[in-house]
Amino acid sequence: MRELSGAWKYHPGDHADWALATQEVEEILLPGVPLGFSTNFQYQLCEFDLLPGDTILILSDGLPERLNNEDEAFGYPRTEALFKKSGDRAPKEICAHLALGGEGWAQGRLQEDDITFVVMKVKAQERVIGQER
Amino acid sequence: MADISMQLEIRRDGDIAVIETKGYIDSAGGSSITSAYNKLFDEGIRRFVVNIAQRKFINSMGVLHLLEIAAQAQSSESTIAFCCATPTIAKSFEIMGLMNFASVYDTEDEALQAYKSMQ
Repeated sequence: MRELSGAWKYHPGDHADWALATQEVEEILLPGVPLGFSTNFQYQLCEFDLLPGDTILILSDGLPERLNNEDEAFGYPRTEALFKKSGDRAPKEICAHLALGGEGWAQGRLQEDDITFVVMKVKAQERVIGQER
Repeated sequence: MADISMQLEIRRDGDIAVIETKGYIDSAGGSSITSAYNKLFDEGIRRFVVNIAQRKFINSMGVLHLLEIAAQAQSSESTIAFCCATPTIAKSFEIMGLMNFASVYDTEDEALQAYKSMQ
């Protein structure tokens, strides 16, 4: 997904994603149909700049749609807030923080969908430049 | 745990069919909605509203079924609208591209009014 020339390219699936830069969370929402859809769908290609220290989170809808015992979904705003709180940590810790947040919200209710996170960080001294199209 | 069964209530408002879902919209639930859509289509209905107010949860396979009937509607000169999604489900609809194939309204009344204003 990442080109060696420097630009970050992203093809969407059934998930949302955010990039963290200077403690701010930017959501990059690219609609994409689930695998198996029978109609032709033109996926968008998005390129954007990344700076050292940026963190990218790609996730399935499992955490935002996780329900508690009152049938309330965890939601996207809480997911974003959790990521903002932990975005400066190591990828493994960010995943654990997000998963624990979902567990706490669920109050013991069993998980009803897959919950997937992919976290990537841009190391210091590594600058990538691209443009959106 | 989620309830596995899917209950549907079908109402008519003139020539518009309202399919109200009362179950877990996974693959099986989505399949039930598809069957109801096909049956109504065979009966001559061409305008549909799917009301998911009673659902707090839907998974990717459920959305896939909704996408398939929305695309089918588009290619068969019928129209389908969805309404009453929670903010989380509405955003999942947006992420999964449903809004490329169907309209999504906050309330059933808005969806019905939108159809009626097209007449």
